[in-house]
Amino acid sequence: MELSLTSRAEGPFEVLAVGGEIDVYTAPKLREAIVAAVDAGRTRLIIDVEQVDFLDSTGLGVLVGALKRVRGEGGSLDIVCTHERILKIFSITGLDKVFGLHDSVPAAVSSHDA
Amino acid sequence: MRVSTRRPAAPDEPRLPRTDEPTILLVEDDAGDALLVDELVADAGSPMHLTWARSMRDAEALLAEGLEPDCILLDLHLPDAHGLEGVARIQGQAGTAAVVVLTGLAEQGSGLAAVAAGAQDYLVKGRVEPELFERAVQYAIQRKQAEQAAAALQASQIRAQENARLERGLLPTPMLAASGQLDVAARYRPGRAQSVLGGDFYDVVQTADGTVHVLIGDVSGHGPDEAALGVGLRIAWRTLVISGATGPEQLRLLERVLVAERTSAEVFATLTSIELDPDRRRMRVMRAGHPGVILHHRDGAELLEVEGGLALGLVPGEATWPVVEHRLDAGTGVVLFTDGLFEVRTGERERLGEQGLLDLARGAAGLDAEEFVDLLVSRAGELAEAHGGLGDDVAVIHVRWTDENDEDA
Repeated sequence: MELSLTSRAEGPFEVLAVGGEIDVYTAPKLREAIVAAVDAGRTRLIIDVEQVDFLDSTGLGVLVGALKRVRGEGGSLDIVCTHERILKIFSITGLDKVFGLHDSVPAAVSSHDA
Repeated sequence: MRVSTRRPAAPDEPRLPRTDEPTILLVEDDAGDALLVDELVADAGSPMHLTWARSMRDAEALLAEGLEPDCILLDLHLPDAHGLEGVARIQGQAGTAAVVVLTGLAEQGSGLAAVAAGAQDYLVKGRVEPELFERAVQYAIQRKQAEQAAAALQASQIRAQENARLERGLLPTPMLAASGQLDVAARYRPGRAQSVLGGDFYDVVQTADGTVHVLIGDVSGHGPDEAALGVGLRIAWRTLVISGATGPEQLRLLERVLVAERTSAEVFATLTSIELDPDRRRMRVMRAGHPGVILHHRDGAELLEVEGGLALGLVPGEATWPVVEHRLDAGTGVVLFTDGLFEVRTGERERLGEQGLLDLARGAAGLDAEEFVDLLVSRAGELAEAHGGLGDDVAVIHVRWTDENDEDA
């Protein structure tokens, strides 16, 4: 199955909306998109995985790599996810404590208001 | 550089070779010799597309521009490349093209030397008839393709041997203090990408006090690097267990090894480990980003997913891993597995899932350990069959105290 990827600016945030399956075959595409955004100075990322059906360990590695990358640049990474199955993957791996997980893109944006 | 083409073509027609005609690149500085080849091509029975380069540098420029000749006719006396050096240079630039060298009448020896050095054939200038020329070119192309197919086959055989070696490293023989105490049934099935091993690994070690330590783990990603890292982690874990490191300290040290050995900062490893107490009634479970374990009772099965910590390598040095003690009933087996077992695709967008796996396990509870793990792995494979087969490696290990002491309960 394919990976779909769209990006848009939401104020200072770059929203990457991902759909399909993030696995060993498709993860490189997501990595490229993240690297391209960060290289362009867009280091406040929101990755929307609402349309993602499956996420394997390679995909998780890309998300963790993205987190390290943006933190190194003083940016942030938030994930939008409400699907039980994907949330379960984050909780099994313990990543629910590492990523900011949100119900929606606006919720992810407003989590940075302080 | 002059490029000539043999096809009668309208002046504005793009000079792209047709796929059904072999494309020939002639590398020859002598215009007279080039004309002879041009005539041979013209007189050949089937159409060929000829491109002429006057020097090695010109030939290299054409190749760099994207010319993909099926066959290269190479003069051995170019102003900028001489003899076998020229053969090696052109082969380095156009690895898939057949090479036929052109020699003078008095130097057939260098033609043979060129063949020994990897050229497909040689032709003696001025001694070639159109029919022989055409056949030599066709044979050289065929021979080159056969060589490449043989090389690919050999590479895949070497890869299979490497995989077998890695697999032995990933899946060891249990290290038990005494025989007859513990039944171990383990299965490993590589995913559909046969040429690529995943990094699943497991191990069983019994320490002098009688405690049995069991590990299952999975290095993120797929490939020989990940598999090699899996072997390294397994042996590091074995060393830590033998030397007495237990609990979170054991995983902390293992994480240090992972961070030092991994090829990229993205790589991490998940694992679940258990310690079976020699009293046979208690076990301690640690989970680092890995699924829980299935408890295989005689009349059923349950999923035990204890509180865990982060996978190793995600946030090095920061994670903590709780040790959760759990009571073990007499005759209960503990089944550790990697996510490949339940991430099996069962529909266009469906996966077996942990609940599906648990249902399978419940249905198979009456089986003995060997049959039980066989069934889990083969059912997962069957379910995946309709959807492209197992996408990921599957590793399962089932441990149970041998039931001689059941009455002790």
